[in-house]
Amino acid sequence: MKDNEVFERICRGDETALEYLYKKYYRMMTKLVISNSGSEQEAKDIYQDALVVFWQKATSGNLVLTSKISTYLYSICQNLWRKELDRKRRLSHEEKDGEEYIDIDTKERSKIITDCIGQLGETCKKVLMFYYFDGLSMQDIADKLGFANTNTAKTKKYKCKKKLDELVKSQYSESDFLD
Amino acid sequence: MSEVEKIDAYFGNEMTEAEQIDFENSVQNDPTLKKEFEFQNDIVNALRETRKAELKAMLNKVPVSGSMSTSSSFSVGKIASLIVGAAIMGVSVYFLTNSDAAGSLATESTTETQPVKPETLLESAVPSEKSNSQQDLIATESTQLSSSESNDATVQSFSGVESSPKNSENKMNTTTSSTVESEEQKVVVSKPEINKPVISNFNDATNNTDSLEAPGGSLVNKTYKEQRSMEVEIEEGSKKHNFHYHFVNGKLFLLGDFDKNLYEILEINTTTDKAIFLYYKGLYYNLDKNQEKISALTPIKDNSLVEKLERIRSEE
Repeated sequence: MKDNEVFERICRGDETALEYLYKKYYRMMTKLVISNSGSEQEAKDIYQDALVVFWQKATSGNLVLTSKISTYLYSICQNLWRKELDRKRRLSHEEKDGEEYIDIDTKERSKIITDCIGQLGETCKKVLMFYYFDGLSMQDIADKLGFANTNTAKTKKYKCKKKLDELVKSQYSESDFLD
Repeated sequence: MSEVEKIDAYFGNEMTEAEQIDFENSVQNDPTLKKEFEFQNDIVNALRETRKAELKAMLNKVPVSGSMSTSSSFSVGKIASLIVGAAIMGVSVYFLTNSDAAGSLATESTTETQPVKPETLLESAVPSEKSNSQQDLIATESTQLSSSESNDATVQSFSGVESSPKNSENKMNTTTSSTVESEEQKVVVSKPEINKPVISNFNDATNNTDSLEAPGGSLVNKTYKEQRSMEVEIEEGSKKHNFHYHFVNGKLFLLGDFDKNLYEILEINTTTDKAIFLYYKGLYYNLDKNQEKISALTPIKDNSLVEKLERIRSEE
């Protein structure tokens, strides 16, 4: 597959094209991390993160490819790994739980929301994730999920979001998050 | 647009930059809106995180061997390993021709039913040891060499018997050296005087028959895996590197459209080292194992060398 074909497919939210990319550059990208004092697991993690970043930018239409995909991915990997190395260095110099402190409320809240997302139906989940993360157009969402048209996609998205909001609110009030 | 719609448009990336900034300002100035905004922010973030995790889980399921080979080099690797095996086998014929000539001649009647000339006999004898890795073969040879040196004296006393093996031995050497010599690498050509003592095998030819046959029986079912001593990986070429190669930590990387045609790697053992050749689209290329920089592949022009490689390659 040529670069622009892969890219085009990814922009439309074709996950198999992402898998194809993942396989294709796996060695190349993980080598970057491994040869810079990273473990194989870290390398894999960074590479996957980089691909997800790439995916998100591409699907949401925020990316104009000016170089080869591999060059672009490589630079994301470099940046992510540099950040991770920085983070590790800071951790080793400072007390572990100084800065990294996240208030328990925030943690608790995000756990509740994640649980609520899990309670949604598969289609609902997909519609919302495609809309809020992938940033796919309503047309692409309709295509991917087999909706008749963009209106169906819009309605579905609206209803699912409402359902999720309500679920979360009801859970919040149970745990006294809402005053 | 209602506030709720605005929030949604904001998170759905449907606002222009100016609208975004405008909206962020109004959020800061309206406590009720801010509260709703933060609530939505949490939900959207959780949705994004869930999706990220989902994508990563999906990628995690994609099989990528943590080790060296990728899918393309795997399928080709299989072919390559067969070919490498063939090459090793071909070369090991020479090992054995040199070291075992006499012994095999003696055992000819017991091991083979139809009369064959020495080379072919050995060729058919070698596959029975197929699965021995080349190291084994080398090891065997070197022990034979050392033992033979010490037996030099014995050999002399067998002058009567000696003549026939010696003849064949000389014949062997001419065959071997003519086939194998090239300007770039000397494929194992043992010195004649080292071969001589192999006649010690002659003494206990019957015992040898057993030891020669045993490995064949038990090992014949083993896979080819052991023979594959070199890893190969194909990388898609770039404009600059479209027909190139280099070695990284002993692993061969071929750059170019190698996926589209069948290529073969020939590994040939020499006394000290291993010579590696590539066969692709009817041409042979010499691969320098110490070449770590990416360099162009140029076909071997020396006709006699090409002929020899052709012969080795077609032996299987």
